[in-house]
Amino acid sequence: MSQSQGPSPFTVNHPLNLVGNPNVLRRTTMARITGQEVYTADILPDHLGVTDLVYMGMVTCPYPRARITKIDVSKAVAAGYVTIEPSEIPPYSMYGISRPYSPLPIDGLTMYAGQPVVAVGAMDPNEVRDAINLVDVEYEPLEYVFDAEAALQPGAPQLWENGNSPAASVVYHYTPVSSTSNIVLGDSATALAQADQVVTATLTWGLVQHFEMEPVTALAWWTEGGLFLYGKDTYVHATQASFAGYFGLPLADVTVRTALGGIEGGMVCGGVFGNSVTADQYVLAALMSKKAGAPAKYTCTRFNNALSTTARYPVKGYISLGATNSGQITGMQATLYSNAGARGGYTGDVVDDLYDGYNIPNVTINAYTANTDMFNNAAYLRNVGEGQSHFILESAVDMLAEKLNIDPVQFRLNNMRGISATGALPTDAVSGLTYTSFGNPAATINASAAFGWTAAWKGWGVPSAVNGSIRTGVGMAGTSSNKGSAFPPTSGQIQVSPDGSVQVFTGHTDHGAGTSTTLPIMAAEALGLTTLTNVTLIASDTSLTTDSSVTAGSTSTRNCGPSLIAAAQDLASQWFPIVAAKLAAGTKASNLAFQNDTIYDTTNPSNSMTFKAAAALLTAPLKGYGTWNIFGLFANATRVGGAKFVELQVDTDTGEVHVTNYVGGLGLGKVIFAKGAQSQAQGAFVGMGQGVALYEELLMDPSTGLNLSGSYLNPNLLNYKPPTIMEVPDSAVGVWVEQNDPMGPYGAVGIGEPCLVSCEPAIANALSNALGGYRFTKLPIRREDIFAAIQWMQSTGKL
Amino acid sequence: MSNNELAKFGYIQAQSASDAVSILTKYAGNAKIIGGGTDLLYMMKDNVDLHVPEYLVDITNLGLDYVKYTASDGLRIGATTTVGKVQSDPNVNQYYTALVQATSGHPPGIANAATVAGDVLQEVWCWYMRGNYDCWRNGGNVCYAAIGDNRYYQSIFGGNLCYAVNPGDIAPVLFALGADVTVQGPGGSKTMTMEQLMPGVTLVDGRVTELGLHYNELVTEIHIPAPASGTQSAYFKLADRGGIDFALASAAVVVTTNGSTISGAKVYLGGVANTPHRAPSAESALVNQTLPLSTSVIAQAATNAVSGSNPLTWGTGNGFKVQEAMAAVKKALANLT
Repeated sequence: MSQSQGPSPFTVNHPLNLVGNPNVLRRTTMARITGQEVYTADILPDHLGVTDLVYMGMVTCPYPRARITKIDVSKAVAAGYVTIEPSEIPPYSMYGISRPYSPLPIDGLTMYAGQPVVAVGAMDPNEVRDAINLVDVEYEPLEYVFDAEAALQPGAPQLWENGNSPAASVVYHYTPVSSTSNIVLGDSATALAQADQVVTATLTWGLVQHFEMEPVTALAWWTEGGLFLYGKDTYVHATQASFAGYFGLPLADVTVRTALGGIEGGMVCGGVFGNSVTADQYVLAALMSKKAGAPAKYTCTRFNNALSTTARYPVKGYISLGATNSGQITGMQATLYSNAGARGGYTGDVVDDLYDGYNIPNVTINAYTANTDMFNNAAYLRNVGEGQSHFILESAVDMLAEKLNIDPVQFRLNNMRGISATGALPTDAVSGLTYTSFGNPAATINASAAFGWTAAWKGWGVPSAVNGSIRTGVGMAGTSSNKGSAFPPTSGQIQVSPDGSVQVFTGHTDHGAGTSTTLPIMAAEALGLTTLTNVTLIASDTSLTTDSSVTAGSTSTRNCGPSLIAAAQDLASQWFPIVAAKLAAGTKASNLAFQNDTIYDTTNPSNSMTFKAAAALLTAPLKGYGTWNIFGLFANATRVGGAKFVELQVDTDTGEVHVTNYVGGLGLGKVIFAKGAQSQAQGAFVGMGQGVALYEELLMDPSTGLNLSGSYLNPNLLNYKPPTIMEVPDSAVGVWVEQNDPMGPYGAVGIGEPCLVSCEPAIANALSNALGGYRFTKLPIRREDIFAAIQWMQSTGKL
Repeated sequence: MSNNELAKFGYIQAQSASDAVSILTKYAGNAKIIGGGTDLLYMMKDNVDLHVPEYLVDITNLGLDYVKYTASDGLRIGATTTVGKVQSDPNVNQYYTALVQATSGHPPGIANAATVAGDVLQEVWCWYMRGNYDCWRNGGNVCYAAIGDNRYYQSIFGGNLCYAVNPGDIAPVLFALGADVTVQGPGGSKTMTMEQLMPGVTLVDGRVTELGLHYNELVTEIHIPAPASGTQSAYFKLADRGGIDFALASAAVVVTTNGSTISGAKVYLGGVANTPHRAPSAESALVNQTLPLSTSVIAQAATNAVSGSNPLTWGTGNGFKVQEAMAAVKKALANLT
């Protein structure tokens, strides 16, 4: 077995054919667009070879906080339905959730509106609603708290016995940030007092739901052979271990698959953004299957998917930023309140992005996380806090540049951290950890040129153009994202069959990012192949694959690549002796190498054999095994950075906003799947960046002041409005500055989430430019907010 | 609070309009007509209590899928004709520009299923009503929106118990074009003007609604008179998104002309009142003006169009919809040549 201590698991010795090749197309596209793929939610009895399937639904609590005074399932049971009550589930601890865990209320207390209280199952999907209606639950509504800052004040309703401030149970990334943390660098009070200019602002980011295409689904099936779980799962091996422990089963008796698993089936996953199936759904489906004696499937309704999964959490930030007249940032003070929902704990990424992108010598950050009754859980989500922190920071940085009357690009370049002139990489300002790559000013400069910033920028509050009621504005925001590294250890395998076909095995899934193409590219490149035609992928199925770590944090490429390169090396070590024996006499296996669909002798290149002919020498499929690990906390830390540039038009008659040009510049590692990388840039801006900036917020209704409410107004796709195809900008591109990261496969760094980070403040800053310098301090910026800006312009003579 | 598992329901295919009326009568409020179902099925899945019937009465087999035009009679549209079919009809394109514009905001998936009558008669989008709050429409006695989050779905022209706006695109155009509808009821067939069909919030069958239709009445046809020579019309809608969205405000404008001089005008606003809101002072501002309209005339008409508006100030407030309504009028008038 090949280990990282042996040959490099990060690269190969031949010129690259597939890596970075702009002609490589996304695989499985036809199956997807013709609807042939079977998603977890699509699984029917026929797929499992059974006649019965239990369809599940949830009785949910209508109050933000309540004591359950009665649960009566007798009518539902009498009608032949199966139910699961809270008392049937012993709480246990769950990764990323700091509180005692159960999918149903603990101790008879509910903590957010929409929380499942009783699970029901019916053999007929059309009877789920009937079963729900037959369950009688009574509540005593309790006082609740939605706002994180309010939740931490004395006298606030307490969600948990030990208070509303959760202890962090998970520490990701580079700075061990607890959920309530203080970061102090230098002397910020003196720095702000002595600064030539200081801006102070309060910025808020609302509650955002991912509304991914495929709702969260779990299917569980108890058989004599053990427990089978099928889900919209992004880490089947962790699920396997977790449920083996939960139910006291041997690991081998638990099989977990994303959708149907098997060849290509484990890559069928309709979008996640952190919202994959969790124990919330699996526990209930498994217990239901056990009680009902048949497979049980729970597909979240849109309502349940909106409320009882995870969400991008609200953050309120109070920030002061000071600088010299020459444009050097000298100090920052920030107080952050992150709303982790009822059960969330970790919100730390809000913090480290605030101080690591720019050289700020004096920093004080007080960050507080609170549990509230507003929503379920902030544990898993797109961009874990980075969007929020960048909105707070990049709005303030823009305001400070405006106050100093310095071009916003130049002001950021003055202060942006990056690789030094001598090639030294920056370190994390708090932990001292050295990054293995760091997005740098070059990406900002290149993106600025690609955008045409110099020609477009007319000054602060001065639109690029005014045509009747249409005002064109430009804006930008810096990016420094800690996503895209890796969570080793990982493993993977590559098998070659006598017919020359190649099978790649990974525990990963493709939750939409394109890893069903990226992983085959990396494996095939390591084998010297020039096409993916004969390469198939077996993924995310514990019966066929091994642990490849989690599909999250934009880490797929770096997680999977090294172990696949190592697997190719292991395969070569078994295969090359067989090939050498058939080549010229005296050929040494140790001199053979893969390149251009051949295996050749590096000492005599004409002494070679095609890949296919070499495969035909095998009497049975041959499998290479690779593992990868690194030692030492966060030894592979990265920062992907640069800047996002936006040009947009605002119609001051109608309040309409239309983005005409977007350029996302990132300094990253080597690009593996070129078309996929552009898709990431476009998808991040169009779908999520614009969405959060202009359209999306899951709205509560505290405004009526009536205690019956506390309900959500828009947990559906009628009133919650992500952008549609009609909102696509005229142009949107990613501009890359590639650098070799020595800890990434082929030098790669993940870019999924970095593509999204700071799209929102770039839009807000461009709106400010279009609208006379008006500052938007909360997201989303809706039509009424645009009109507030227009009224301000009219009242101040700017329009 | 609602979930959206689709409840069981019975399905009945009506054999004729009078058969449909008999079925509706028989089930006394527990049956609902389904045409395109683009909104009804959504509400059923979302468990909007008022729209989870025991029976669906399918009227798509009644021969009501047609668009007919004659110079003497004008346009007749069967109730189950799809929005898309109306949009692409050559006579509609030749004579009723505003109707084409009002049907073009629907994305293809909706346009090819949604019916014209369904667009006119659709339920309000108020999130309190659709969230099963115990409001006037849901049989309660308070309008939560009047004191709550009323930014998008509520009236700027006052309310009568309920402040929710009629959300449709086509109704304002039908008002402006002087349309009438044929309604089948227990007493047979009758003709109703748009003003009779959509009188604004009132009590019908003991329910608060803006529609003048009883539970066992059925719109079978929409009739729009033939336009006088020199008639021009336009519709403009402002929404958050370019598709799958309702009007924050819309404007339907119809003018008759004598040469290039406007001799008569109708201006209706959509999305801002319980029913399409007529703006007589905007109409007056247009009469005797010359086409194409000057910027100042357009501005005056837009200002006049919102005279008497009284946006909500409790709760979130919805004052920006006044600006939206003015902008919609301006954009619609700019289409006249």
